[in-house]
Formats: sequence, C-alpha cells, structure tokens
Amino acid sequence: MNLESAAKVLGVHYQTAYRWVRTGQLPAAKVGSGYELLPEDVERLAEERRAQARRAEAGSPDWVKAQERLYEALAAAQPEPAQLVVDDVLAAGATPLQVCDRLLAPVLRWLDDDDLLLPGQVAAAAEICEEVAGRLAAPPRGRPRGLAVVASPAGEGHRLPSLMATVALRADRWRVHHLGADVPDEDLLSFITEALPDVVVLSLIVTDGRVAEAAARLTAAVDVPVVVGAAGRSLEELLEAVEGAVRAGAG
Amino acid sequence: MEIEQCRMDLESAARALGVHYQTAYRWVRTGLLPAVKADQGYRLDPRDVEALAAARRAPRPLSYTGRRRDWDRLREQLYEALLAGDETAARRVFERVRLGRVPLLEQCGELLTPTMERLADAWAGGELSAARLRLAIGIAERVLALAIGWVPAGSRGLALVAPSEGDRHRLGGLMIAAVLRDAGWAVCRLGAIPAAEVVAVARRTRPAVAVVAVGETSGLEAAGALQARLQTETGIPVLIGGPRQDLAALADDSLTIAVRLPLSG
Repeated sequence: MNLESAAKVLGVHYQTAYRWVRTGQLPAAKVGSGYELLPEDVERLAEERRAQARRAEAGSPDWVKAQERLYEALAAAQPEPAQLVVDDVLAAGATPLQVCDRLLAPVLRWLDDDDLLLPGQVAAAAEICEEVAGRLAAPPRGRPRGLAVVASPAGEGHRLPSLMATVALRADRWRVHHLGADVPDEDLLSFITEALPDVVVLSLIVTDGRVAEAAARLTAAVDVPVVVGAAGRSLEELLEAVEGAVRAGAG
Repeated sequence: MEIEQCRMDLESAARALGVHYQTAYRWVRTGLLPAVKADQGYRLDPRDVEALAAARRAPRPLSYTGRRRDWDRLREQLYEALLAGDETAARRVFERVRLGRVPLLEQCGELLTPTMERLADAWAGGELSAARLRLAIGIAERVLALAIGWVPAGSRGLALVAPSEGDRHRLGGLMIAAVLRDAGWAVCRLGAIPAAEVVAVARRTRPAVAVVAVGETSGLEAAGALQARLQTETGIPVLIGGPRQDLAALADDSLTIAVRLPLSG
C-alpha cells in the first residue's frame, strides 16, 4: 500500500500520514520515490485512532486523568496500556515534551513515593517509561539546529532524565547523540573531542557531590557550552538554558 | 505424579516427541515435561509425553512465508547506521524488514545479534571507542522497542522477563521480549533487580511464564540459580533465554507452556 492510499484509509491529509511515518508510529519503507506500507499496520493505526476519538474529550488532554491511567498501567507492570495512555494524549494534541513533563515525570515520582508498591514494580515501571520515552525520541527531520551530546556522568545511574532531555532536544530540532547514564569521564571527554557538538547536556538528579564534581570537571575540560540539568527543572527550562548557552558561546 | 505410571525413559520420550535427547532433557529441567529422577536417569508418564506431543502439534503462529531477505546488505546498513549514531537510518532498516513481515525472532537472529557482535568485536579490537559502542547499543535498544510495538500484543497471557543477577545487557532482555511478543505474549520486562524482588514481583503479577535473561554464556550459572529459586518459590514455569542461547527454542518452549496451561491448571 502506498502512502496516499494509507492517508485515505486513515482519513487524514497526506502530510499527516507522512509525519506519522517520520515519528515511527506508522512503519513504512522507502521504495523508489515513495513509501510502501503494510495494510494491517495502516488498519491497526486507523482502529487505534477511532478508539482514541471515542475516548478523547473535546479540547486539550486531561492530564490528571491521563496520570491516573498511566499510574494504573505502570503499577500493573503492563506496557501496552501505558503506551495507549501516551498515544491518547498525543492524539489530543500534547507535544512529546509535555508528555515527559506533565505525564511521565510526575507519575514516576508518584510511584517512587508509593509504599504499597514493591521496589521491583517501580523498577519495572521505569523500564516501561524508558521504552515509551524512547518512542517519543524521534530524530528531527530537515535541517537540525546543531549537534547536542546528552549524557549523565558516572555515578548517575538514572536513565530516564537524560532520555527525556533527548526527547525535548530532538523535538526542538536538535540532532542528539544520546550516550545514556553513568558515562565515565574519559569516555565522555574523548567522545566530545571527537564529535565536536555545539552543546553538551549533562543530566543529573542524584544529589551525590561526586557526580556534581564530575559535571564541573567536564564543564571545565571542554570548550563547548555545557548545560547541567538538575532535579526539579522542567524540560522547558532546560531548552531555554541550552538556547542561552549556545547564544553565549557564539557571542 | 504417581511413580508406578512413570515407566518411560527420557530417550523414548525424546523419540516420541521427535526431538533430540538434550531438548527433552531441557524441558524436564525447566519443568515443561514432568519427570521423576530414578536410579537410572529420568522416568516419565507416557500420558504427559503424549500431552506435550499433542501441544506441539497444535498450530503455532511462528511460520514465516515471506521471501528470503538480503541479510548481508541489511546488516551492513544497520552496522553503518549504528556506527554513525544515525538513529533514523537504523529505524529505516527495521521498517524495511517489517514490510517483509519478518518475525521479530528472525530480525534478532539474522540482523541485530550479528550486527551487535560485529560492533562489540570492533570495540574489543580498539577500532571503536566505548562511547561510540554505548551510542550504538542505545539506538539498537530504542529501535528494537519500536519494532516490538509494531507487532500487535497477543492475548496469550503475561510473560515476565528478568535479567539474571549481574547481567546488565538490556538488549538481551529486549530480544527475549521481542520473541515472546511474536509468540503472542504480553511481556513485562524487569530491570536489573535483586532475586528476592524478582520473586516478589512474580508473586504479585502471577505471570503464566517467566524467562531469565542471560547475556554472556558465563552468566548461565547465575541464571540457573534464579530460575531454580523462582520456580521453587512461585511454582511458575521458568525458562532461560538470551541472544547467545537459542531464541527459537525459547519461543517454542513458551508456546508449549501456553498450550499446556489448561492441562496443568
């Protein structure tokens, strides 16, 4: 099936179907000058959208309700219902950045504080959130604003904060090399020297002094702007800080 | 199981099942095939053997009828994409494969595992920095998770995947999740958590089957320990799997458990 027929089945504009291909929601392979799709993939997305339309209330996403649904799915360690909640808020117009700031992050804090859950359940929930966030982290199309390297220094084992930073930066049209959590100093330094990014974003939420020191050491060692994202800071603020750092570096 | 009914030995059972002796032995160890240990090896009830044989004859969804793929070219494309940290190009390779309706099992075995091994070799040979390898693994994890999401979730029941102690290779657990998804399971993947917590989660979520993920062959001992503990403390059938183990056998065993569920219930 080509993209035009798919758009017709989905009842959307060709450009919209194209965007879904770009974000990975709709798997398609480039054949010659166009795209080829599996009819069952198109039909499944169409069915999901009909279901979403039935669930969606007019206007903007209901964040409180979405948080409650996500909490239920994560507490039951069920990846599919969790993904469904995210798909629903995206369909209601939410941006990937809002999904991180207003859905994933608050629900994870909620789960962390819940005494009724086993530590293993919280860990399973974090795995699910990582998969969900990974799907949100579609690389930007068109000309990127520049290259960013995202990592958490050694000692910071939380994987989600850096991944959410990558989601936000890519949504803001940055090309991102995502190195993940707990990256040893020397690996990060040599990579920055080799890749020559426009900005480095270090993500940390642990309040361990050694991690903060590692971040400070790295900041001093490279002549690229470094932005340190910390706990309690929203992704909006992080993007503003990146903007400021890059502008200051250029000036 | 009553001892007097257990008159079949493991060799005859393997013959009746049409599998290698070692396979039958693996099924006994994982609790798939009930057996009692006698002086001269295992003794089995022929009715159990026949039930398992019947379960294995039941239709299964893993047949692949698509045309042969040009795996060499796809592997090369994926390798280049991962090496360059190009997530879009890596996605494209998986989308192409999805269009051929290639099962995730085959995607893991033919595409992902060899490519990751080649990257690991390049790193070991000093051609690739640790950071580049890290970048590549992260992309592979996200792209595989995306590809898993393209396969509709089945209704077979819940399968729990837990890494063996000390195993930090998430990709291995994801590959197991992929193969189980193909086989129609809803999959819950646990992160690296202590054995006691794996047991606690299994008790609470009551999966139909659990799989202990093992990355390197050296981790098999730890995996066996977790398998034994989970099986003893929860009574849930527990399999061992990983990219260096036989993923096809894992899918097959999980299906056999699924078909047997009503019998053992």
